[in-house]
Amino acid sequence: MRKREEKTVTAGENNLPPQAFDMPEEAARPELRRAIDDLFCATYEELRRLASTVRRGDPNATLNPTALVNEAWIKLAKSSELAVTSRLHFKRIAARAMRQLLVEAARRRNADKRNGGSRITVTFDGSFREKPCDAKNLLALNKALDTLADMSPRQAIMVESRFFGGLDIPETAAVLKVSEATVLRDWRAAKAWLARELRESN
Amino acid sequence: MIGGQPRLGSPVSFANRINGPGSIQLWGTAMDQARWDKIQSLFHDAAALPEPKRLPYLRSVCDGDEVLVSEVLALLEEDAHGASLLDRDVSEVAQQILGDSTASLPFKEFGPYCIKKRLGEGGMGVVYLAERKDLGSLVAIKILRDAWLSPSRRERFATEQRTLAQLNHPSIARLYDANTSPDGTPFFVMEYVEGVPLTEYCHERQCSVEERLRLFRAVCEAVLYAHQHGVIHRDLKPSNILVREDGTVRLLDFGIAKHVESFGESVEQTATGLRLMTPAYASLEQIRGERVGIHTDVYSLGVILYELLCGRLPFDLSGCTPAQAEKFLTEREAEKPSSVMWQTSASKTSHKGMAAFRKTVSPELDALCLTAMHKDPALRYHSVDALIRDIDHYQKHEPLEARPATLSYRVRHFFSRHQRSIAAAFMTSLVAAMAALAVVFAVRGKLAPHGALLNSKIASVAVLPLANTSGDAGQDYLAGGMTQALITDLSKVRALKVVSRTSASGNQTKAESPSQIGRELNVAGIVEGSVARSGNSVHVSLELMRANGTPVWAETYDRNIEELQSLQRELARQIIRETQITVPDSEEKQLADSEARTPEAHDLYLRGRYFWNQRTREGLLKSVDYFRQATIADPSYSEAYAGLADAYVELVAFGNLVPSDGLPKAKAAASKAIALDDSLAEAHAALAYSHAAEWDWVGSQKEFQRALELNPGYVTALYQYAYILSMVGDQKESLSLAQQALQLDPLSPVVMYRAGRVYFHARDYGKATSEFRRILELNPNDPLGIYGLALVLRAQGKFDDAIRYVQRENLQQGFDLASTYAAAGQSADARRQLTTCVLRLQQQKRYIRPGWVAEVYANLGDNDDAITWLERGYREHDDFLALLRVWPAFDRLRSDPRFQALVRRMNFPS
Repeated sequence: MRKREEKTVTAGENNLPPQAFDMPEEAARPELRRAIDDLFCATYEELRRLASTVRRGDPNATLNPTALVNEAWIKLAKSSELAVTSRLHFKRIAARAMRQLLVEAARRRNADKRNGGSRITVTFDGSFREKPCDAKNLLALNKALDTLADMSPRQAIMVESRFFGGLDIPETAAVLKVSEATVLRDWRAAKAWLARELRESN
Repeated sequence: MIGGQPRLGSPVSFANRINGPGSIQLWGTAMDQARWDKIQSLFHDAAALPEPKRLPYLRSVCDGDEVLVSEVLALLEEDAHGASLLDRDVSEVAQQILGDSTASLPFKEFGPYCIKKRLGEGGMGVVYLAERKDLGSLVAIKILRDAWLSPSRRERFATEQRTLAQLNHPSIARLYDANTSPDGTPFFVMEYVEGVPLTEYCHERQCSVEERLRLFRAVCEAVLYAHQHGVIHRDLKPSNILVREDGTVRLLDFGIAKHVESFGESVEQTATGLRLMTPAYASLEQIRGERVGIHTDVYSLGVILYELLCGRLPFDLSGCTPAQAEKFLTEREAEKPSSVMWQTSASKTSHKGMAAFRKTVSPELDALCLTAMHKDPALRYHSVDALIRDIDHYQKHEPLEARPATLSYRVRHFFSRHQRSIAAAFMTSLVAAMAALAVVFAVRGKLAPHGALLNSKIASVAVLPLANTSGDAGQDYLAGGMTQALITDLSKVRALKVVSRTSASGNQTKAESPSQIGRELNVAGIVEGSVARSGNSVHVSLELMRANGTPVWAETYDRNIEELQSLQRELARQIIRETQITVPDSEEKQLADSEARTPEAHDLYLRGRYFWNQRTREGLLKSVDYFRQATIADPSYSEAYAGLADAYVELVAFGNLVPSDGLPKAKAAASKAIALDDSLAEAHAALAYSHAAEWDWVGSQKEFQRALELNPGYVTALYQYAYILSMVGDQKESLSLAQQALQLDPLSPVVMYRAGRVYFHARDYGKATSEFRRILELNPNDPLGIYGLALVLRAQGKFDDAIRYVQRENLQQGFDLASTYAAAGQSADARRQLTTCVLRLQQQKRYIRPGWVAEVYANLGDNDDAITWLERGYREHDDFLALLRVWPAFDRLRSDPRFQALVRRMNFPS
């Protein structure tokens, strides 16, 4: 049953209606939208490459998305794509790229496992025991975030930015143009609701 | 860019969701925003209370809605628990999910292909030999490691590759397929070619220069083919060019470099601070990261040819960073291949192939090779086609088209270093040095430079249309507008004859040698150059050379677009200085005087002039639009008002606008322009034309004379004045003006047409025919030429031919055909055609030009109707009436008193 559902979601990816823009000034300017989409793609590719480079250099190196996002900013700083945005805005976009990247990787991982696991990832090291679930957990979070976006777009952006992009409270407040107190409040409620959803999905 | 527009809904872009539209379900109840707000509010209120008071509080406020209570409680529980994924560091999660990257090839099979072995690795990619499972054929698969495409780009990538796959040329390795693997890694499936890199092949076999040129030409053919299909290689180098056992060449990796570049750069920079690319075959602009195009491939071909001729690269850039390479390339000039050979052969006398080389690398090959790899794209061969032509010329011992372009740089450097300190005594040695340089590059052989020639004034120049090298046709207007501005400025100097070279079909890049152009246009100097705009910066390179090809001056400018106007003036002044012509102070002042406009208004004006110059109905209407916008952007923009007047004048003159509508507008705009700036030749000319259409011949003549006084080289005024004079009867003056216009703009169809008409009005049918024929030589379908010829044929009584011509084009809305039938005596046909025309125009609510109708009746011998329509034309100010005195078709009416009275009312000057 779950398998089926997972599959439907993947297939559905290619013909989705656009979500409400979270930055209204973009909606009014198609060329800006395009520029941001380009930046999004470039960021995705850069993050992915960085993740791999880091790993190749040192298999035990920590993949810290915040660090990756910062590094991506430096790499892309020279590109024309970045001209459309501020650093903060970039982090916001990078957060979504990171989300997509992790979701894709998690899907592949799930698929591998279902297809008999061509790669051996099982480890008997105790500290890693719970880790193989991360992929599934992440996919569940991804789905729940979409549901949250329907209930409250602002909170969905908030979670995406904070969790996937490592934006801190003041940055999140600035992105969403709300007070820090509101961010704290929204975050607490959203987190609780998402935790509940994740528990349900298990 | 293929697939640049994403298909609706297909790509996952920033705005798209990551996941499917999740069902908005929460524990079985649909959750909407309002309910979620309520839950949150209760959650926060309850959370502020101590634990035991929470449930009673919720019960008290939820009014029996137990579901609501339990929802809030569930959140409170999670809040206290705090151990979900979100409480963990995303690093850990990322580590788990991304961390496990298998270092080796992730997939053994790519679609129907099965990897057999690794062929090699380089740069960003790994190449594998693979077998197609069903067919058993061998292919090479190139995988771009470390390059993942985001999902939305995958489809675009595949689409782009499909165009590459359509390249089907015997010398280009086929691209069978390209796609992304399930994890987003791009891969290319290519023809598997067994061969030896070009340079190695030539070295091993000690190929002769002829053999090397033959191979090189084959490479060029392949590159040309790709260019014609819109594909730029971007990474041409010998290792991408394999020669097979049978001696045929195969080019690999067409269009792939683009992806390697875009993927590769950042990683490599991370690792070493270096860009990945090998700079050896890359042009300066490519190293700078500027726009690549045909010109970058031409450069790479030039370097490859150099290497083939010399056995080494022109510059040793090994180990250079891009910045060092850029500096090196900017400062150094490549040694001439012929002198490289001399050195090499001196040190390696045993190498038997070298003896042959020494004889065969000639100055012509030097020029050919150095032109291809010129550091300024504008001075390179403009296309691979031109390069091939020169190879052919060389092989057939014909003169090359290449001009000694590299020389101008040296001269320029020489000049700029010494300009300020040049004393008269020094001049001699300078001239000698230049002469020596020129000899080396005297590819035409006949050139014998000497001091006197090099030192003399240049009293006439041809300004060739500046090339738009931005690669964006949308920027054509900038190059066109700057060309015109330059011509306008230069022609203000009386002592300098300025010839324009309006090309018939816009962007024709016919490679002609300076001496050909010089002969053709009868000038001593040639100005040519290029303009490329990218973003807010403009790159202009300009060169002045003598008609024999000797460079006089060349310079490149990089400016902000805001400084465009001052740059234009600077260019004009610089060229005038280089011609060594003495300019009186008054003219100098006039040059400096023009007012600065806002960049926005100026840009609109340039666009307006560009479209005006096309002289088609659509072009003129667009120009009206742009000129008008320019006057709105800058209400004191006199040139824009003059442009507006010009546009209305041309619209009326070619019957595209009702005179009663267009003429007042033309006059108003021209008067406004003159009020703003009385010294504007364009404005006076436009006003002159509208005076003429009001049959104010004296006023018209005065304004034309004023315009030509202000700018004696103003071609538009010259041909318009000639035209008007020819109608009112001063044939002699008219012919002389027309000839001046032809001299100054010898290839412009409009000027030829007006000149042809001047001859026609003077009933010199032979000369008229030859002007009209010249138009058709440039463009066999040009309606101006066809109409002109039809006029002459009809006047000569060659009706069958005339009908054939007018039937080819819908000239004068079909009235012309009616007139021709009438003149041929086919009255019934003429009347039928006339009715058709009138009915159609009435239906379309378009202006029926009375002159045209009158002409048909006159040809039919129907004097009453002809006079009636002429009277109407007189009232409506149809400028066809200006032709009353000279038009052959009206000859039959001349004895009619009504006609004579009409002529008197026209007030023609005696």
